[in-house]
Amino acid sequence: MSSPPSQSRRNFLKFLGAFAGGVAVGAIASYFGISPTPAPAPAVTGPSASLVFAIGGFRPDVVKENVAEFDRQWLIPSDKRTRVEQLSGDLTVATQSRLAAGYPLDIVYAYPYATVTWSKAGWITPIDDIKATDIVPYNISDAVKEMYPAVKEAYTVENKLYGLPYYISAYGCILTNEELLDKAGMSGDYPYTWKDMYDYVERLAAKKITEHPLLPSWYNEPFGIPWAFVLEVINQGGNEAMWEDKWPYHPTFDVGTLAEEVLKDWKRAWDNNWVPRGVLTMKQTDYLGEFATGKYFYNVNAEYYLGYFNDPSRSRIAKKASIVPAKQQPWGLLDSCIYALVKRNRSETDLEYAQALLEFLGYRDRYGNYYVGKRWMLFEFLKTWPAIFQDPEVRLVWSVRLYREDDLDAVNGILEKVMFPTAWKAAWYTKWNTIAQTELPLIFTGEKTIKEVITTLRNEAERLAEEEEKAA
Amino acid sequence: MAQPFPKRKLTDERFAIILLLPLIIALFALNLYPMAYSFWLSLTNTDVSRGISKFIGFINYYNLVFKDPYFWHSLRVSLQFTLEASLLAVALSLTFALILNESFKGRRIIRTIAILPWAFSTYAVASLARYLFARSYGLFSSLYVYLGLSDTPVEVVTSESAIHILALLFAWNYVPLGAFFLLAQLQIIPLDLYNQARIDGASAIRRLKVVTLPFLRRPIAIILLLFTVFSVVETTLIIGFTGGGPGKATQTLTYWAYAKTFMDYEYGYGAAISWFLILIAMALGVLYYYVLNKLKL
Repeated sequence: MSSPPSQSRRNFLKFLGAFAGGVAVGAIASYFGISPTPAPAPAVTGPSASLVFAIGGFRPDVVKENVAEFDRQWLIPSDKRTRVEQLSGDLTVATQSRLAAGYPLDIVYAYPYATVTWSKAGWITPIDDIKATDIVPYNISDAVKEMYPAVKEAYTVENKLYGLPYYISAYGCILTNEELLDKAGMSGDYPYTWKDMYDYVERLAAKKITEHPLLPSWYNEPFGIPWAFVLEVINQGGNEAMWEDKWPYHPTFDVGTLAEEVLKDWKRAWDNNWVPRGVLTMKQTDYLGEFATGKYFYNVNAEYYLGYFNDPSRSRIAKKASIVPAKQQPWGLLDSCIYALVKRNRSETDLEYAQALLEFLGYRDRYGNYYVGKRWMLFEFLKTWPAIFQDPEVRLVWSVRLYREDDLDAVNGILEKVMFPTAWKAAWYTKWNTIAQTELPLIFTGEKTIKEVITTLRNEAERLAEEEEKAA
Repeated sequence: MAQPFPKRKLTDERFAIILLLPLIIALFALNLYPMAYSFWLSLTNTDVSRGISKFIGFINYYNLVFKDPYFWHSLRVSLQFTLEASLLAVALSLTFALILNESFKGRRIIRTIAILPWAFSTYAVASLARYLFARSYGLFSSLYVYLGLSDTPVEVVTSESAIHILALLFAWNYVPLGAFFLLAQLQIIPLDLYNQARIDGASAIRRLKVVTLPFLRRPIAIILLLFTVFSVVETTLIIGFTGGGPGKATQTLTYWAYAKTFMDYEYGYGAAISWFLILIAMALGVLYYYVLNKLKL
């Protein structure tokens, strides 16, 4: 006998109720961070109030997922979950104004110069003394042993280290278009110094395969033409070819020095039409799009953009963009950012949680994995620690995307040698950078000679360094 | 028994003041206070990167005029851009207003389309222009090749042309505003006047001179002043399109104020440049009024 319809409806409603209840409980459990396989619990569960991490506009989705994982691993109660505060506008200025106002932050992003200013103002705290506890998983001294040398140099102020890497990049490597190099019969035949590069460009120009063989980073951004000049000088002659080795970093470059040689190479490239005229007005997005057209043999750029140029949705040279390894001289300068720990009044426990968050973001998770660094590497090709290059998953993902798997090792090798321009620790550098952005193109427009430009740049650097010295 | 507090009558004036009070407060908070603060900043050496802020009087103004190696160049570029951009925008506004005032088929659609450039944000105009004027894939460079004017793509944006292109872009962006402002005025001119002029045998140019322009004298002065102020302070277009380059070809005073404030973090010096710009805008405004009155346009 079949059940009466009313009975059947009751059963159905019961089932529906049970199902909905199950879903609701699951959702609530998920919302409150209850995981079926909880991470090992620290002795104390959670800080007295939410930790606050101030970020900019780049991939807040990834950051929030990272932070949620920290909360899960450290069993942070739901009412004290780590808060991600997204700042608008210029990140350094926005962060600095909050630090100056005593706004309660725990972790902030810091660039080299900001690290100097903020450490001197007492807004961020050195991390050398962080020791492993029940809450903090690692001694910082262990992390320091693994760190790329340039990162340690960039973020050490008065012999104290002020953070762990959020990303590091070598800005100013030679990226190659292997398709064109193959056509020219020069695939795998690379220049290993800047001097060689201009000679190679001359050879490639003679083959008349493209209109302009080289796309140099002389574009119109603060990190365009001024950085191009600095990196070519210091890669060939060391920091001492640009400025003295200690604060306030008085300039050493002058007419008749390596700086003049670099600008002569530039002028040779310009006068021989090896580079496009329009590069001087390009913004970074135009500049990236230009090399992605596949019309150039070489592009001076950050190794970071290997990911971009090998992405078929963005580039015509996907799977054909490679990089010249650092063999005879370093390539580029360190473009990087760290996670810094904000100095504020906290209990010992709260401080340890803030230190744990710092280590989780900038080093390893509770289980010894480079959780955050690996995610950034997988999603955005952001580099942090050398060991991540050997991670099988990372190698698998990027060997598929890059021109050849060896390129990953080439990038790692470049980062091992990348240089940090020491004058970036001085306040005057950004002001000089603005002047250099205006002055350097004048050698191409014919408004000034190379000697005049170098003289102006040197005088301005000297004036600014002296002003800074006097003000101190 | 006399009342202890005599009842005050709410006059029309008092009522109007009460109604305007929120606006006055908002005006003060949003305009006057920031202006006063920026003037105060201009009298200090505030530099966020160095963490200093001290009152220094008019030193920033002195340094700007007598010591800054980029000041005179930037001033010249600013004046060139302002004159070119504002005069071009007014001329094109007048032309479009006269065209849109005529009866022709599809006038409504054309009027709708004509207002579109104004709907673009300035940054969007700058971004669009970067693509239009790009050498490798830009429209204009491709046209050169397509029309056989060049065998290879050409650099349209050069040290010589960049400032003129910026003026053109500014005009393109703002012409709809001026055109519709003038069009509104054109529509109140009595048709009888045109008919009388025709009976008197006046040509189209003569009718424009004796009938139309006298009615447009004040509106033209207003939009000229408006465009002058807009172009003096224009920054987004320059940052977005040329970034002050190539070299320093389009480095106006506003761009220099931007660079000193937001790239070098010298807020005090940047504020001094901004106040100098306000003086220029005011001087140009007075000059325009004087010239227009003199010409009896």
